[in-house]
Amino acid sequence: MNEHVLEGRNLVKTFGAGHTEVRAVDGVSLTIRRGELVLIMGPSGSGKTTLVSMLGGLLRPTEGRVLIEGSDITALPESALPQIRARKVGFVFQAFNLLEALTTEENILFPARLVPGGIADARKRAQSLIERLDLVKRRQALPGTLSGGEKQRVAIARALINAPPVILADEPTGNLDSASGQEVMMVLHDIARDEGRSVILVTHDPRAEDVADRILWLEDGEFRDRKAEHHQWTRDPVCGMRVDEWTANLRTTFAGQSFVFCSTRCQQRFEADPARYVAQGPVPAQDRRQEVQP
Amino acid sequence: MWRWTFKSLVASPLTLAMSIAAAACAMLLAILFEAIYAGEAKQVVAYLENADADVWVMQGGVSNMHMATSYLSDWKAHEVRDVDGVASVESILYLNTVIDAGGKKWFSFIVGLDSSSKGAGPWSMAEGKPMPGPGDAIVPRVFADMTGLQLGDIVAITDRKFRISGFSADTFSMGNTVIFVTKPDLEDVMSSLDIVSFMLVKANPGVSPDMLARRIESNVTKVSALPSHAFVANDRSMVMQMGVETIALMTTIGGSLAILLVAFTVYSQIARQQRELAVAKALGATNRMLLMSVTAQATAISVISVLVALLLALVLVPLTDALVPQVTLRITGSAIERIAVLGVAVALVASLVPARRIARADPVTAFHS
Repeated sequence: MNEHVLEGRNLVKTFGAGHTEVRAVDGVSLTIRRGELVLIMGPSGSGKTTLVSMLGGLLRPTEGRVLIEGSDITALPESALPQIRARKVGFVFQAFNLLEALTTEENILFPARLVPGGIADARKRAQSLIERLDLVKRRQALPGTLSGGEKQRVAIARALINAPPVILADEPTGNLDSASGQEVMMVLHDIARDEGRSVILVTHDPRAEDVADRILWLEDGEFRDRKAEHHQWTRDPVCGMRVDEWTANLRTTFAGQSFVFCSTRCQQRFEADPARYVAQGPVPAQDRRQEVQP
Repeated sequence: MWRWTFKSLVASPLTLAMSIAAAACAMLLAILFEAIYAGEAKQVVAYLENADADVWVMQGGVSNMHMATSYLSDWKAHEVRDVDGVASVESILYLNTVIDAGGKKWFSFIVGLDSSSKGAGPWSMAEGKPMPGPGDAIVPRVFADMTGLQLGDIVAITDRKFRISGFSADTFSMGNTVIFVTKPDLEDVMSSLDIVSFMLVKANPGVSPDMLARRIESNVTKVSALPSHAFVANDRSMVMQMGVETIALMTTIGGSLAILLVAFTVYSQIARQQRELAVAKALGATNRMLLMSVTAQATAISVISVLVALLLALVLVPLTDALVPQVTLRITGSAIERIAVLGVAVALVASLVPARRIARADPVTAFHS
């Protein structure tokens, strides 16, 4: 069995042309092994989402190839890609992206209905995923009634329903509070470790580093060595979680001071009553630790 | 996929209900225009269809009754009667004119009857005598209801006054009002003697009306003879061609409105679901699947709209007949077929409108928070 589940070879993606051409991804190559959890990190606008979109068959690279289980998906016609996405790739999005009219169970089963004959085996798998992800009581609930953590667990179950070899998760904890985010992170970790699926995780969440097998640093569309000075750790003023101020993309300015957050939930809480958190004493800028990545 | 399709459709029940109501109203409009057309097409030739004739004979070159003028010397009736295969001949005098009744003017067909008339007079009476006497007029019941006329009241036909002696049933249409008087009275109105307008010919048993009509034309000079079905068809065509373009235009407007409304509903649905379409694409749905989903939604809206429109029509038609008796509505099988075809056309056109939007839904946008 080929242990290289996902390969990207010299991937380039450009947008625009002439003077306006932007090379969002510039000659990136990577290989992901079975059961590996790989983190892709980097500053905002570094090309992470573009890279993941190409790896998942959502976006055609301008140059280079993507191979899933040895099969070159970039050589396939456009019409073949939806089936590749349905069978080979599970997507987990920051915004959960559940289908609002469907219940938890129906959302989980949705990708199985896109695969010919897929629904027959999927029901049992759905049952098992519902139990495993602690969604038994929320089986018939509509997305609007679920908490953020529950929504993301439903999204993870949906990503797993067709038993794809690759899971691509883009900021899966970005809209969650710290406890739910931690929980989701551990689920993704277990998926890689216990089920042997390859998980690629795009995140700013530093906790993910604790569960990752490898960390790839993307900057200006290229993989680079992550330098120590690229981290400037501070604390989320709401939950107190460690946040990399340099890469964080959730920012709010209050009383002339800039604050960064681990999640939109914390940001929303802060913005609802900033004085409360400032009064409690967020870590002042001058006191922030300059943590160095080992 | 289908579950998602229909659950998405009913996710906003109020919007859906309003869309269906609007589309159903547009379709109902088309059905009612059709029904008016069909009702009038039937009613406008009611006299000809109910008159007891196998063949109609008239002045040479004339081929219908509505707005036509036909003069024949009354002795021609004897010539017609002598044609082989003719069982009987009954003559009527006929005048298109405007009558003055209830303070209004009404376009009317005045039929002058011989006192011996058997098959040319009113075929159904609502009230009063079935045959007019001297100075009498039999007018339609609906006409009387609209003008407030009673038995014994006076109506004016040109410069003559007539007393209403009976109300006939089923002799009113928006195109004409059939009024029966005696032939001598009508001759007096027309200042003419010894002429007839039309002859109602009965054929002997076993004689085909078509053949008899040809035989009359070859044996009697300067007359036209038409079998009853052809005469009725000519008259209907003559009357309806005046309104057919308007009715066709109205039906087209109704149909177009329905298409626009259903298309707008489906398009709004797609616009609302744009993000979900992108997500579905990212998860592996093809453009074809999504297009089928949208077509199914449009079909569901159309089918429900058609059914609601038909249901409303079934309620409204008898209600209209009762409240507005001067308008005859008739829903035919072909009208139902046409509205069903319209429903399918609405669904197809309405699903084609957002097809481009579906094709262009970018699955990468599923990553945008």
